Amino acid sequence: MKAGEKMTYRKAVEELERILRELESEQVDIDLLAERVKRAAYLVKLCRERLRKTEQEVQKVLAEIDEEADDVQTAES
Amino acid sequence: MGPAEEAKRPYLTLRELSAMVRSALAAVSDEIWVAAEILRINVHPQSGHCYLELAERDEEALVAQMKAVIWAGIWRTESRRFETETGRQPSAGMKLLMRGRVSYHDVYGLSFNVLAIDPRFTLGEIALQRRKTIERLEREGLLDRNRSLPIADVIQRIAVISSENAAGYGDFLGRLRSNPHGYSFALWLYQTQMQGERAESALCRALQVCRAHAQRYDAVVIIRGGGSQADLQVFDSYAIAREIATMPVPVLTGIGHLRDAAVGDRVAHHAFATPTALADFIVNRAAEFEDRLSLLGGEISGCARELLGRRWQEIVRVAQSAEGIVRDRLARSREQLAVSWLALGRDARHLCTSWDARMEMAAHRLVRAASAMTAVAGASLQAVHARCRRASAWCASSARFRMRGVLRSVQRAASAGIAWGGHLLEKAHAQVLLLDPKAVLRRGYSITRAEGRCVTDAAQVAPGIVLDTVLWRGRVISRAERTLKGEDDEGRGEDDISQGG
Repeated sequence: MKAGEKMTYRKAVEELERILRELESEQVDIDLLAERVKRAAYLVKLCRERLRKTEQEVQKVLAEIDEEADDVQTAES
Repeated sequence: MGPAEEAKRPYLTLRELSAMVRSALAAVSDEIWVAAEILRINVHPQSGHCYLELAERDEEALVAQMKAVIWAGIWRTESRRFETETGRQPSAGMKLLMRGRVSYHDVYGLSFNVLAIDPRFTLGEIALQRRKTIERLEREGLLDRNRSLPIADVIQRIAVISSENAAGYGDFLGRLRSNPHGYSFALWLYQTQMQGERAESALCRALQVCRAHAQRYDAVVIIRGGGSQADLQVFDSYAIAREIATMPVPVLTGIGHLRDAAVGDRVAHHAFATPTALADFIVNRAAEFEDRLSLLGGEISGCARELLGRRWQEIVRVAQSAEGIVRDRLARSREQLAVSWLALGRDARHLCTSWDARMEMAAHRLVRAASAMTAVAGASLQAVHARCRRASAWCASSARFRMRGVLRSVQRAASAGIAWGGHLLEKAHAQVLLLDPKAVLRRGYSITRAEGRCVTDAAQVAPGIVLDTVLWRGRVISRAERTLKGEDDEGRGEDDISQGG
């Protein structure tokens, strides 16, 4: 997983864990609660979708990275 | 073995020599165990016999060498067993412990006829070799390098090092693509030769190429071609182990071994017995991640619900206490009201009863007074009535009496009156008769009228006036000629008048 990439599985889980800790410590204001829960639901949905993205989509992402990194030689395979 | 010198003839035939050697070899013709390194090995394609060149070294220098043969029937079973046990086929450089006997063929010469191979010896040798390689890697700090890399929660972008038509690769692909969760995986294949003499260098190169792109992948997967176990020894190679160890992303191996892990497995991040197991690991890891997601999501929503619930309870509690206070006050007010109501009722009833009593008393008094008054009035009325009756009776009788008297006197007076009246009437009638103008007129008197008026004075008449003179019988209309005045002329006047009339 590339460091600068938008949302990674790890980041998503970390954020979910943070939200859970926050809720468990009851530091969440009742007004923010809905926002947190909504965010959590969004993250779960995002990850689930990404897990089932088509292979072609994932490969496309790889191809894009390829174009960025011109120095890489892919002659042999 | 040098040629024998002793002979009856000054020489031996070659055949005799062979026989001699054969008999001399009878001393070692029993089955014996021999350990040796394979220098060369060749299986005859038609016959299936295996021909070997065995050797022994001392510090790399050959100190002994001998041909060996494993007949096709034995080779088939022994080589299979060996492969199963060791994960590799007998090959050059490998040390074998063989049971056999020395045989000498007149044409083919001396050779060691192998009857059985003990794979355990080779295993021990392999293990030793591995141990040496591992120690070296450890010294160089490479042994746990790959393993210490963080591994992605979801291994989705995968570089595969394998050969495209290898059975293992097919299994791996099929397993990934038909995963029951519907996850997607992106695979990039770095094709390489996994078998044969050049396998090591080819694999090494593939790994080096992959390393150049490694950052794009979540993991590098090495899948062995499948089928034969024999090419496993490649993965004990130090060069391959080094490539794996220094890969910047986790390397997962599914090279299919049954016993001890190869060095390549040891340095990899995770090693699996089969490509299928490796695919399952990847799928399960994604599933575990999703489970974790679900769990986290569930816990978050549970927590949120609980928080909400607790807030709600607080609200309810506040509301309940407020309700309690209100209810308390209400109850108290109601009690007070009830007390007041009772008092009011009592007072009202009291008032009512006292009023009733008073009213009743007043009514009694009234009734009493009224009846008293009625009685009095009745009595006086009766008295009055009696007096009235009495008085009227008396009045009536005295009146009747008086009336009768009056009536009688009236009757008397009336009849006297009537008689008198008759007399008077007759007299009056006679007078009246005397005074009647007609009678007067009969007696020669006349009535002269001028202009409608009776003429009694000559002064009333002017000469020329028309006079109407009424006689006893008929009338005379005349005109006055002249008038005469004075008393004396009365007679004459009368005449005149009558004349005039």
